[in-house]
Amino acid sequence: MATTIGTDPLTLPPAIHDEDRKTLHETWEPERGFKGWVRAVNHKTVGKRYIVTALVFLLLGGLEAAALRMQLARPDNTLLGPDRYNQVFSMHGTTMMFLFAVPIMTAIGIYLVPLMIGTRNVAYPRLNALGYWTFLLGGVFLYTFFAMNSGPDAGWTSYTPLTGPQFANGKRIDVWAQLVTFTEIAALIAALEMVMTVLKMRAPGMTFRRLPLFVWAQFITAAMVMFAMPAVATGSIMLGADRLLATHFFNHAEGGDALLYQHLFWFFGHPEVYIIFLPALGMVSQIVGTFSRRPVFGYPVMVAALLTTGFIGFGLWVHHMFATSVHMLSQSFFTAASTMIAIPTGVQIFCWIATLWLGRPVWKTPLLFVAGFVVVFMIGGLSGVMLASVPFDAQAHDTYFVVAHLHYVLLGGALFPLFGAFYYWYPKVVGRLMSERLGKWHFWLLLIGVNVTFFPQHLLGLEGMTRRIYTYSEAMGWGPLNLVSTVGAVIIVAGMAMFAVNLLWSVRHGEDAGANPWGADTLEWLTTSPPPPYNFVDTPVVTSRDGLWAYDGEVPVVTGLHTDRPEVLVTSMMDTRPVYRHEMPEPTYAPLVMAVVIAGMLAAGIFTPWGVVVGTFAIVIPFYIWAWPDRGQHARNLREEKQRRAEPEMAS
Amino acid sequence: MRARATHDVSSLPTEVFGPANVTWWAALGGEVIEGFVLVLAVFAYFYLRYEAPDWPPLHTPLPSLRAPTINLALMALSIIPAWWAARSARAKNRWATFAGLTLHAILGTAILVMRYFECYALNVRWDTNAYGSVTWAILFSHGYMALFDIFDTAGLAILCLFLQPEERHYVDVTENSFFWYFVVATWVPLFLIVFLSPR
Repeated sequence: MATTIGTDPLTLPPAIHDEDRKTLHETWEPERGFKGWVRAVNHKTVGKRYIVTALVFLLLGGLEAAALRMQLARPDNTLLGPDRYNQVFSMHGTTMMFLFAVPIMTAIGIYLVPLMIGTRNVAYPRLNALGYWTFLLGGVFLYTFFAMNSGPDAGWTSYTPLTGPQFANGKRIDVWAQLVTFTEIAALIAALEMVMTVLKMRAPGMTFRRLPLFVWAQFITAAMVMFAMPAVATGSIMLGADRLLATHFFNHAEGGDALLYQHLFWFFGHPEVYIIFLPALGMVSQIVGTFSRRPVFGYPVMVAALLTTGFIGFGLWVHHMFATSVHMLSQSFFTAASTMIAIPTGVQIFCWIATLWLGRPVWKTPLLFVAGFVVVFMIGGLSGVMLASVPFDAQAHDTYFVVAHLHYVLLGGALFPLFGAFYYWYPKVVGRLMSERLGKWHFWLLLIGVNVTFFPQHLLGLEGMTRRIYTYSEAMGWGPLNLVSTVGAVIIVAGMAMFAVNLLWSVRHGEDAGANPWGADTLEWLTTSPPPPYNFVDTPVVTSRDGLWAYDGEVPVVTGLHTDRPEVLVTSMMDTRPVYRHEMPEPTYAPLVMAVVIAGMLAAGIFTPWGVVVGTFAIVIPFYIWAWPDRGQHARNLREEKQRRAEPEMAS
Repeated sequence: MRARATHDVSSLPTEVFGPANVTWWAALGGEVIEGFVLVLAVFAYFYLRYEAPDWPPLHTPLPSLRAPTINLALMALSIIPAWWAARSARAKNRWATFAGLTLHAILGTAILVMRYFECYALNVRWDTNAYGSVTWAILFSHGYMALFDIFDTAGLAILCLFLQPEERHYVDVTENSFFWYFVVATWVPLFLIVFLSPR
């Protein structure tokens, strides 16, 4: 009897296997219709939703950026007034950081990591669904208030005292603070999910020494989220409390301190850059390895570099505060740490170059984006080394030099690898390849557009143009460079249009991908494209760091998992020894209901503290529904437990 | 490619207690996150204290100790039913587990009621000054964490009452107790910081 892993036939000994496979399919098959849609808990369904939602927010954030550039294209422009401009740039930053960059990196991890470690779902599928719904409702919440002219207007950082009750009336800042809580809940859930899935659900043989670099990157990122997100949540909740409950955390007159807010914000804010950047590094490593046709050079060094970046990333936050009254000693320390972080990143870049050098590079679109990443990110890195120096930072602080730097770092360090990842993994998700021609148009337009947009901003910054101003007078002489910058933004929009067309067109018209179109080595390429709901017919056993390249025509697999229930294998943390068979929970409404209750609680919480009190107790209802066992499953489990207890007695 | 069966896992158990179980790790992850929230609250406390000329600020009395001491004792006491519930769950003894959970939930509720009095034992309102804000915040964030554990404890007790628990529910009981130990353990340094250190 034959069955398949990927597109190649696999021969398994027992004749019953076909029957098992049918049962497996029926067990994991998603429910149909609207009911199935809202109850879904499969990591691939949730991951795809997350990705699409984050792309919608990319579109919105991009439109806001385009509006900002149109306003700044010429002096004394009146397209956006000062108040609207404040809201639009705050929405742009908030959307890109909280609703696009972090979520999309998480989303790709949620989709890919279980496939890459050879399991069938994430560790806590219902929690995963709750994370997504909370994220979605957070975005809807923010844009609803924006539509009502109550969008945040004090930047994505919302510094006190500007945002304190003395200076910011209305609910705009409360909306921002509460959005942070929404996204923090979602990010922490996803992080918990990722860490525990990687620790406990790797296929037998996938020890830490064999973990794909993308999984390492996701794992370290998730661990960082667990320590970074609570800081911004603490800061934003304190800010909300200062505004709603008249507390004095940041009120100097009553013993508070505005700089406490900056510490809490940047203890999150700087690691946030690495939370976006590390998964991108993981993507680059996978792409470089596959398209060089060889394993990535210096695997242990690469892992060490990721870990080091994760640690040092927490020791840099004060470099965002050099213009405040922090102690001189702190300034020296954080200058040194900020310079030091260039080392692990440099090490990785050299390892990728060595991989390409020693391999046989195939210049498909994903690899082009990696090349673009190296170029754009290095320019951002160099201006970063300049800004790490206190005397320079004091001059360039809050100017367009910083705007140029952060966009080079974020677009170069995250967006280019992300697009490379889209071209690389799209065939796995959709089953069809994206168009190479459109992909190359996308790449070149983006590369040119980013440089034309942001390079002139370095010069504008050095000429003294401060950030977050809605216009400037002609006498300043900033008009020509701003116009060039806006032309660059138009080129970026054209490039992004190519990407959007490619994404949609290729769903139906792309070339059929097969299981492993790139001849890659990681486990996700072992299964069909798109993967079945259960990912793998049989859980594969990993024999080498080189994954599929080491199998030599034969895949060792695990047998003995139930096929009539959604069961996964849990393994030991270090040596991945099979420990027990864990039954995954069934689809349910509970995560959506709980997310709605949380959303109601947080939305009401910006008007009255009683919203939080009532909401806290209301959460109990979906919490209990979530945990209450399904009647049929309960009876079956009790029956089987009884049988198991009886078996040893009979044997004796 | 051909598949070759190398690992047969059909004889493995379907539930295990302790760190081998994925839900134990969920509890640990929750503890890491919640613990770090408390660390940040303590950081804010000492940051503001370092900046302040007097702590508590002038004209703000020191916190009283009666209610906090009673609550500390109650917390120490609550470990017993939590431990008993976990032990009974491991032995899969339904009614002993139920009794442990119920006692745990009752004591936990008493602790939360005492938390209300502890807040007033601070002798400062949250909106009086930054000292009041940060001390209330510490008590509130720890109390919020305890409240959710009590929700879970009560839920498990209700489940034990109405249904024969499955193995996985017994595992949940042990992890619920594991989280409660964390709630109690974190309170000890917080108690020392908030109530004793200003003296």
